[in-house]
Amino acid sequence: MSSQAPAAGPVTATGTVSRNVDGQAIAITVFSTLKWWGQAWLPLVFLYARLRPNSAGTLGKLSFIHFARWTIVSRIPDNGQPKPDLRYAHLFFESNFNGGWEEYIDAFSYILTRGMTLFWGSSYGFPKPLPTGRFKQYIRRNEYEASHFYSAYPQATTTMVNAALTLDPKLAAVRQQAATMDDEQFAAAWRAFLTDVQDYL
Amino acid sequence: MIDLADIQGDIVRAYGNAYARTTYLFVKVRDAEQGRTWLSSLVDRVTNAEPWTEGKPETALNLALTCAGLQALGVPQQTLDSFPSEFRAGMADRATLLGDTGPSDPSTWDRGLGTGEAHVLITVNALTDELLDSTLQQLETEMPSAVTGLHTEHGKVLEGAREHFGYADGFAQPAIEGATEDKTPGGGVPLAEGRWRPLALGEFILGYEDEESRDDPDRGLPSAPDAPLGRSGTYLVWRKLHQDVALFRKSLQEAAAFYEDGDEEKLAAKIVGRWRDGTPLVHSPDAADTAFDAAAPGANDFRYADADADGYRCPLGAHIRRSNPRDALGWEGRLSFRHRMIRRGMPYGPELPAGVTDDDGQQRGLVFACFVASISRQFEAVQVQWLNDGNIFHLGHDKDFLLGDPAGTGKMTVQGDPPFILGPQRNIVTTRGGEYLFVPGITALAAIADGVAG
Amino acid sequence: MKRANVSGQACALMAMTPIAPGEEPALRGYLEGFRGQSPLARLERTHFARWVIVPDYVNDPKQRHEEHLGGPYLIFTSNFDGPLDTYLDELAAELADEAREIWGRCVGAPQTAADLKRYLMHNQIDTGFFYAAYPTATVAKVRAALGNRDRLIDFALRAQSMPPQELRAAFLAEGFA
Repeated sequence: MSSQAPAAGPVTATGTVSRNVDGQAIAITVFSTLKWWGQAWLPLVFLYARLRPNSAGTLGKLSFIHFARWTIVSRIPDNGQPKPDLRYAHLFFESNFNGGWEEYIDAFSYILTRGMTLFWGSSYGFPKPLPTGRFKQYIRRNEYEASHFYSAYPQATTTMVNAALTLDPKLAAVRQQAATMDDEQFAAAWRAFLTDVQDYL
Repeated sequence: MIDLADIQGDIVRAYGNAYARTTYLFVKVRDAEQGRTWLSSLVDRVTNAEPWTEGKPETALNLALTCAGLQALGVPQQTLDSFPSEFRAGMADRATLLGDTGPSDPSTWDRGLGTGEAHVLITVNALTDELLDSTLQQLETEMPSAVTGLHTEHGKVLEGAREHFGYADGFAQPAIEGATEDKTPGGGVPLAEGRWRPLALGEFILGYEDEESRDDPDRGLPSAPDAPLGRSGTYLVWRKLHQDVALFRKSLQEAAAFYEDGDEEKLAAKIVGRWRDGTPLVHSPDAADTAFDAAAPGANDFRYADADADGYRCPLGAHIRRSNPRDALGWEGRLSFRHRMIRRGMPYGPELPAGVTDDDGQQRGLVFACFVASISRQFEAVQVQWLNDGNIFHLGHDKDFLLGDPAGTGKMTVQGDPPFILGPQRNIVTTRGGEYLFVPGITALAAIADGVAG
Repeated sequence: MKRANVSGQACALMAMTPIAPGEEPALRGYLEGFRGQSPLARLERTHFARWVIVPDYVNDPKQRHEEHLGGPYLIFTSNFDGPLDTYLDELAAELADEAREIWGRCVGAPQTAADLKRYLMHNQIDTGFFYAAYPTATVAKVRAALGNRDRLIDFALRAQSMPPQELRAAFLAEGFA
């Protein structure tokens, strides 16, 4: 009865097919069917996530993810196509991340365990986040592979982007110092600068 | 209860450095029936994991098989299909993934390795040269015409149990429940308040519960090849890594010129995370501890998150911090505890005399050998994401400095006030060959020999 | 645009359009043909984007009723520098040829640039929760910062062997923006 999203091509180093990959960036696209109460529950979860500044904290600390989103798809707009026979709403999830597919899901299972249940608990067939094996099977069953995936900076990971962005103003400051200080003063300022930014290099 | 009689030796508990000689002999099997008959003659001599009651045997013998080898011995296709895909593909096929490119590309490997011809690996451990030679002689004599030697590598323990770059090695290993719990402080999974716990046996031996089984209410066993092969077996990742000792010494010398008034030994320690005698930097950041004893309880008991979060003691990209992050990735090791490996490698080749910085053209390096229940999770993921890349440690694309860079351009940041940028990263390690192998339990081995494996 | 679609200056767009009967294989082939040469590179405000073909929903065994989309759909998602309005203008202009091959194969296919914008807006689905790791940084800013970082690392390595008399001049010569 249940169909499986078609898998195309061999799984690569990253743990997913090559069309989901652009350089270091990996795409994951998942649809799950929502139980009736999910449609009312999830908007509350979304609101909670948006309002609490810390809710994205763990996501940020994990720092695999560039951009991610959850979206409820209930009504499909009409363009004159045959009307879909749908009883259920669906939850759409997409993420743009780095690392490996397995490690990404591991992180969700082991670390975002509560978050996972909040977001996917109202989807049919959602097993608990642990054991990871079953959760991975669930994701794979509901995953679609991209026909085309694009990243504007494919070789850069999220932590590299964050490091570069943090570095920029500090670099501007030390450039100011180079313009105004003498050689000895600048040598000391440079040393202080390196100590300050070493984690971003 | 662990069925030690059914598991091959040197996996759960190391044979130890008393076996100063280890020879790895790869053979090719051209006829399945002859191969199986020959295998039958060896099965009873395979050393298992039972503790020795009468002192060390003079020699120890162990067997492993590649997927091509299983096929060559007549294991049916359906059974072969029950093995994981990376094992079936073989290491050479995974070259791009593993970073075996350029000078490490399989096309440059020693003859016979990575071509699908390596079928059976016989590992012989011996107390002396003479015992080794006579064992190898005997093995050769016994080989039928359809079984031929393909590649031989002689490993030899170097003085001070060091490897060719001069670092003491091999003593830090995972703590396994019910087997090596003495290693738990430092070798297990880091818990809160400085406590540790050992790892489930199934992380290393098939047919037993692994860490994931613990979370599974139905206590299912991890996936394994079809019976009777799945029980008591494990996977062996075997890699011949050539080390350019002269280049390493030269690079160290040149770089150290600008590091803390030329402290080469300290820079060498920063690369690995231990001083060359094995003292962990986390414990002794300024000097090696002359009293360091790797075997002493607590010698390996350290972690990073509290005492060394900034990497000022052990750099964030140091070799041991990359290959076994302990609690460095946060969340009490939950992102790293499924990626541990049992290491049993041996150096090969003659030592380069101390102080020499010109290459003498000799072949020397490390036979890297590790045992894991999952090649992709416990070896490949580590190689790809922790060693050949730095993102998870917030180090961009920096690679493990100790393993070199085929492009010769990488760098390593040695954290400090001020930091030191070590570079460029030369090509000091080259892969000369490798195979993924299955190490069957004794019963499974007998089943393969009897042709009833499937 | 709904607030949930926005984080800082970053925006999330999702358009789900029905693929015209019989067009799925050709559309798939066309999209897969982009490998390495993405037309999206011309839409410089795009951080990450994808086209995904959904032949049908996956029914979970636990569902009491089986359901079907009634035909394949094309999903386009983009994570870009806002605002949406001008982004769609740029998309319609820069990707006019590709749009014809892609959305031109969908039911209700738009004919003109203005049509495309209207079509995508009509088929747009608002986001529930959008996470952006660096919500205030545009693509241009990210690229510039990455370039600076690379050059800085390079310089820092060389600078280690420079005495003070050399260092300041060498640093200024690098011309970090």
